Amino acid sequence: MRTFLPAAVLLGTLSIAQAADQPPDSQITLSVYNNDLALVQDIRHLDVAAGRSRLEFKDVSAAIKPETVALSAKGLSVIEQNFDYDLLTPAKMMEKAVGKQIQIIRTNPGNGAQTPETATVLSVNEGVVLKVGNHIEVLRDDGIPTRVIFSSIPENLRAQPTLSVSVDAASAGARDVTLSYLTRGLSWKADYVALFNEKQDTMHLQGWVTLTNTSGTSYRNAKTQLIAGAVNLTDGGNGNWQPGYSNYAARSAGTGATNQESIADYYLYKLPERVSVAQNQTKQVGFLDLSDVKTVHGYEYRADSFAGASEPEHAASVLKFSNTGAPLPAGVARVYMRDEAGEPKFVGEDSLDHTPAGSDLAIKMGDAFDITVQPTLVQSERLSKWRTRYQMSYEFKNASSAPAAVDLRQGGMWRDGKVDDESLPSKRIDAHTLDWSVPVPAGGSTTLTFTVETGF
Amino acid sequence: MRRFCLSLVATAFAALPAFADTVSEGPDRIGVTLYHSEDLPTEELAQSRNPTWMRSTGLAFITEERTIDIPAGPSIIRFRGVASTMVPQSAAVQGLPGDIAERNFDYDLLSPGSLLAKSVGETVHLVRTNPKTGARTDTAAIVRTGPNGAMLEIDGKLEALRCSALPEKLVFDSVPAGLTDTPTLSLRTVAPVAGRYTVKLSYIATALNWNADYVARIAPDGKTLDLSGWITLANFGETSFPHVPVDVVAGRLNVTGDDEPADPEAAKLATACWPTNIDWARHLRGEAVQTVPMGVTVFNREKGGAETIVVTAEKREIVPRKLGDYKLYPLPEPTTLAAQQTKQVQFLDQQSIPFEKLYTDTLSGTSFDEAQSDIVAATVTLHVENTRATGLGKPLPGGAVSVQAPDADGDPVLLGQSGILDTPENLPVEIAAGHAMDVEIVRRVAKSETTGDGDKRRVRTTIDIAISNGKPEPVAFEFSHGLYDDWAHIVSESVPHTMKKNMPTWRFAIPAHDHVTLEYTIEVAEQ
Repeated sequence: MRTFLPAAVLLGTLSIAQAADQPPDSQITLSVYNNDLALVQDIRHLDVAAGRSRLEFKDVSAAIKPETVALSAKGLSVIEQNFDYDLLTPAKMMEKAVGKQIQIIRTNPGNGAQTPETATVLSVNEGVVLKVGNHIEVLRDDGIPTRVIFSSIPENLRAQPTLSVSVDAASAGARDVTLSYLTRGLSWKADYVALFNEKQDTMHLQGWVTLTNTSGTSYRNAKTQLIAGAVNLTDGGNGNWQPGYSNYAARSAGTGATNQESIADYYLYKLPERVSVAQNQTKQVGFLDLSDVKTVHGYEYRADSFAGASEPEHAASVLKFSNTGAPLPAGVARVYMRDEAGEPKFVGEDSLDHTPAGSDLAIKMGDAFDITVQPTLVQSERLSKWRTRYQMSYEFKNASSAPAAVDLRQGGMWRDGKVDDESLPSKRIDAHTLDWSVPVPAGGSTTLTFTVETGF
Repeated sequence: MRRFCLSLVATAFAALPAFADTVSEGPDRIGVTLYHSEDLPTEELAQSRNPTWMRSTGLAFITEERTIDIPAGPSIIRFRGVASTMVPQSAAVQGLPGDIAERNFDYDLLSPGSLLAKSVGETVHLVRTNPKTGARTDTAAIVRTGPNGAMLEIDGKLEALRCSALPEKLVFDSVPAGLTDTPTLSLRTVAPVAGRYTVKLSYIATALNWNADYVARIAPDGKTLDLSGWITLANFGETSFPHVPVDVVAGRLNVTGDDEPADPEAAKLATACWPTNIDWARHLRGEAVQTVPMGVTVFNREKGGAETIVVTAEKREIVPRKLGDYKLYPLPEPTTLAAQQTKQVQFLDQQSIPFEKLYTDTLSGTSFDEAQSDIVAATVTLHVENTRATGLGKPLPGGAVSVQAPDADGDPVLLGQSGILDTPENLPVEIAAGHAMDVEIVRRVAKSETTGDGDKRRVRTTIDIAISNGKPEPVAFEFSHGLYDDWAHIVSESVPHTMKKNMPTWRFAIPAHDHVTLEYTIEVAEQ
């Protein structure tokens, strides 16, 4: 079994090691959040001249947030920093060559002879105007194949995203320089694979961390940690971190009584090995493997208000379980069942929110084909300004060969609403919701009727 | 002038353990299970107007069996030839020795653009041909920028690729690592011992879908009908599945909307040269010179809709099996799901199912003008009991039903098309089949009166219904009134109603050439 122990760290604090303690390698540490955000720490061993000089960091993220850059090294102070990402293209090369000399080589179409000449670029504007010798002419205006040779790449044209920092060093010499920044384009989520055994009512639950990188840069051999829980950002519509639980999945929040620690509402998973996270790649790393997890397979029908439906609807097929072990980071749980031939087949998926250990969860797999509900608003009547009486009937049918119990969750109750009459006993599971467990025999039907008085 | 000391950093990496590269070219066996994830007309499946959207809809589960020779120690296994619409995070692998440390889905496809993009910083060969003499020169060049306009470094000087109008091309020594000509899933694993393993790979893919469609043919005696059902399989993806066993699953799975296929990016090669085609005429006309923004070329890979429709005329019925709470229809023999193809297989063929012709009319809402009156023709509905007694008694996946009946000469006539929902055994099937001109309903608001004020205000409306049967035989008739108002209820009625489809419904048997009447009063509380 492979389980990563979430380590308790104080987030936001970068450990800045002494140069002597670091191996002479570029070392990348990625702290990846759920919401398209990562903290990159990049330690590079650089030879810095004494006094003022410019350091260039190539291959930083193209989606860097330059205002979050922090650079630190022994005896080094930052004067200014620039993030250059003016892409190098032939057209840009020519534009930057205005006023400079280039070499042109014409090929004579008659005899194939090549004539090199030196030219000065006068303008690039819907055509390249050149001064060749004492003449002014337009490049390739005569249709003669002409090569252009540039002597160098202009300083601020980059083939890859580059951060350049002007620094002042107290002394010359090689040292470790720690660069850290926030970037977009890196994200992670969890993916769960649940193989459900219907006969034994157990499942095998595996969790994978899915890391995606669209930041425009690859991070090779990076120490990677994943932080569960969305951080609040001031600059975008990423929303506040709300420690709520999902609509369907989490049924009761756990107490989190596990051997894991968390700080400030975040859980942190460290990947056990360094990984390379290439641009445009989806990478998955296993983090959870639990066999024989006890499950309860049930059926559920949810009604949000006292309204009928013109056609019978299907009850949802729901898989319930408790996560006793570890907190589960948010992700998609996909459920598989073996078909008659013994082959696992996909039977549905549901979203899970960040769930503390000890929570009860339910995965909605899909609609049960054979179990239908015909909801009918038999009669309703306005009793007073704020009160209405609803008489409902739910006809449950079960076409399968096994008896089923359907959980009916009737929402729409007001706090002062009351049940006048019911054919089966209900439970009030919260202020607004009534709950019935309706047994439906195999190949048969059960009709639940009730009358409530509530607001509106 | 201030001199900057430019420090170029050679990035060094910690030594990685050596990974053996194992390539699995393709599966030995594939199984495809299609789910019905989207309610689309079959016409749309056969000839989609929006192939780009179709590519990311639909849901299928692909299982593959591969034989792979894995060396001992750490290795990377590349599963080539997976479906291009694979949802990478859904992949599951069984049968590999050792732990799967990580898995990567490479979705860069080999194209001129991606070849150049992956060669930035590498040395390639620039081959030029003198157009007159035919002499070829081969120059080593370092690629400095990629597919958005390539700059090459030759002997410390820079030249642009394909901006000189000279015939020139790049020659690469090998395909850069990680570039694949087919969608590939890569796995890293550590095998304790070398050996040949049978590995099962399964994953979810989009761009595959299926629909059920029915044809109901009414017998000449008008008492029974023959019902045939067809499964339409559609593959909107780029991957063909030749001669594979196919299962289709009826019933609705819950999906999260996160199952997006990885998009293989066939990067395009652009030149982005400096301007060379000078429009002298325009300049001489004295038109304002505008700076034209560099256009973004939309590269459309998609083909318009399905190219072929194959009808396999197999008169066979498929008995559904149980898969959890769904119905699984195994197709009787392997079939080919070619890319951009639609095909049909029969799954139901039931003769002589008795049905009842039901004539209906429905009124909706609670707001009527006094003395409002209209005359309408009854809707004809075919009511079929889906029980074993009628010969049906089967789960019926939702779909469109075309109703045909013979005319006086015995030639089939289409009466109409309607839809049914996923219908389990024992739930009746009601198929709308047009209107009956000789069963007529006169609906009239007889009386409307208001009492009380404020929240005691009530409006009572009395509605008169007269139904006449012009047919030479008795008919079964149902009149329904959908109130759709929590504060409305029926206070009096000449005939007691029952609730059907969430509507108060009155049922009548009307003798031949006769009529019946109904009167009822609705009370509505108004704000």
